[in-house]
Amino acid sequence: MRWGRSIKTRLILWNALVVMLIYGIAATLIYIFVRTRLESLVMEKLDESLNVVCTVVYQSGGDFYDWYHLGHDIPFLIMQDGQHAYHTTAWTRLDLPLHMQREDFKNDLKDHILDEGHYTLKSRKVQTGIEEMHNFLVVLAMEDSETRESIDGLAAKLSSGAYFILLLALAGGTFLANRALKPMKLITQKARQISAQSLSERLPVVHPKDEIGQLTIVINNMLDRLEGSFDRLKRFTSDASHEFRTPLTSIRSIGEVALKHNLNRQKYREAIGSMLEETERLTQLVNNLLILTRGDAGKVKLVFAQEDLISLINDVIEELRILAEDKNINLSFTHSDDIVLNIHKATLQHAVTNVLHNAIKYTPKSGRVKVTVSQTKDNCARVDISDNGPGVPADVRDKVFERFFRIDDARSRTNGGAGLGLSIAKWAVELNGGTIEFVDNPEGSRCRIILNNSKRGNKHE
Amino acid sequence: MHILVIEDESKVAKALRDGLASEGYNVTVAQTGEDGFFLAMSQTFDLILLDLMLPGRSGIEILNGIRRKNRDVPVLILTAKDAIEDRVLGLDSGADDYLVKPFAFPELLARIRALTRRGRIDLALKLKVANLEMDCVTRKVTRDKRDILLTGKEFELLEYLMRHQGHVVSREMLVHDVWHVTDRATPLDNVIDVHVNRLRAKMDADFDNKLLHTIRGVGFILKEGDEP
Repeated sequence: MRWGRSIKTRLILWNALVVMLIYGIAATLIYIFVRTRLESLVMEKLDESLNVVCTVVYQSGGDFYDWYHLGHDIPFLIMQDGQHAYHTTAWTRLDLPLHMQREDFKNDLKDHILDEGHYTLKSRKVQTGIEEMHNFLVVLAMEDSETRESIDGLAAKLSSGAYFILLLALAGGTFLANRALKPMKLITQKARQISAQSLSERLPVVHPKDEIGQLTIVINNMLDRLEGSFDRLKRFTSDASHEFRTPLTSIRSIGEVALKHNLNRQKYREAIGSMLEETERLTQLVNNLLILTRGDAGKVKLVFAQEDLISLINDVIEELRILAEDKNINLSFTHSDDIVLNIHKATLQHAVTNVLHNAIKYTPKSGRVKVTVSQTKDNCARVDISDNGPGVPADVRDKVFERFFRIDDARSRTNGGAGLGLSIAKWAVELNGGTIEFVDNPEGSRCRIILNNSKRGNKHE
Repeated sequence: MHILVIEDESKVAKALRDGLASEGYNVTVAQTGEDGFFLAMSQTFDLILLDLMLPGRSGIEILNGIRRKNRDVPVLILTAKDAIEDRVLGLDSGADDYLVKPFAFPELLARIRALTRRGRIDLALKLKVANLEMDCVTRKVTRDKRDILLTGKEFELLEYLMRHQGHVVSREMLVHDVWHVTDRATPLDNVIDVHVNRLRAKMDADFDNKLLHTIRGVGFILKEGDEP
């Protein structure tokens, strides 16, 4: 994985960056606080001494004999009307200038750096006099090297601490990232192993509640669906091959047997005719499969129109009535008033034909097939096609719509179906925005088609 | 009548040549698109049967070439592709008709007959096969002067068979032309068989000279004489 691309690297770097940012802000605040505190301590001391000196100067009224009593340990300088008036020996020891102007001070303060250390100077104006008033400027110096050193020391400690914190942040970040991404690694490893041959395997769910866990569950659900459709496809392909094999076997054996014997013209015609019948069966199979695969591919583009459902079903019934008559089956049609729906006529007709054809096929001679169309309360059209044949067992009611599914293998095959009729019916009904299912019927089967009156086929328009 | 068959599959080409020759057509076969295109441009044919999937030059290209030369020879396309877009493409390119493989040979013959007599309207109002007569205006059918009462569907079925008398009619043609269902997968074969049986019972049962014959695996034929 390239540097900077891996989530782990980015996580660690971002984590370190955030930690360092927080540390930087905290360190700066500490530094400013400590520095202000220490400096204000120096100022308080300076002010205190300056107060004493200024009070003495004020009370003396400018008589410098009194100043002498202040002692020589405190370094201060007194200017009178801009002229040097007095200074202590401590002042000269510090080698401070003997002449200072008010203008030399900014905010009463002035830094003075000497070889021995750092001094802060503070000045204050005092107006006093015995006969006439004079302007005095008192300047006091105080050494604050120690304070400066502690402040600088703090800054150095804080910045060296930054290295330590950085290391800690990187290490902690790595630990956290590894911990958080551990399931990802497992998932990646597992996902790599899953292929078409091992679709039944699932990704490990480490913490079902967290984001990665949720993602894993979603992916597993997707795998469930994939496996399902893969299985259906596999079964479909194997079923289809099987269905092809049957007519192919017939064609082959009929041809081989016919060639083996010396037959008369009539027998040869029969053999060829029989082979052609099987060919027709294959053709029908291919046509049906094409309808379904085209439906699967979503390639079907249909134009929907307002059609009368009753007349559509009536057409189908009249078309197939002859088959019912042939078996002496009573085929009845009850319906409410005209129901006009937005549908695709040909596909829906195909669906009803397939279902009705099945009903007639499986109903015994002299039986009953009933078609009922009614309008439900929620404005849907309901088409019931019921018979008194053997019926559809409850446990296979969903399966009957699967491709190539047969309730009874032997029975259906002799009837000539490939088990695709109901699949096509389902596809066609759903294309028209409806549903199809087998429901309870005390005497046989009942296939129910519901067509929605409001939202049918909108996506195709 | 001279027909050009452009078909690369040699078995199909041979079957077409033999089948059409036995119907009295003069057949030339081209097995590649180039040959077919050359022949179509250099000679005159009454009809061209064109396979769409050819090596070298596609059927649509050949069709475009022929139509660019403004030759109004009828072209019947044969193809395994039956999606609606494919049909539209073929017809838009100037084909006159379209037949999807595998096709029933009788249907191919019927289409060829229809294409080569284009312009001449075949709407005889009185049809006759042996002693079976049909009046399309009064919708009266008689055999040997005896009235035969037919249902509407039976009448349409018989009319279609009579109009194709002497030629085999496949179930597919009936589904398409008599039942007017375009969907190739609709299960109507049983329905057709029952109708044919009933028609036969009405028009043939009382006579020794049978007219309506079933050709197993192929379809039905209405003609005089036992030999189909």
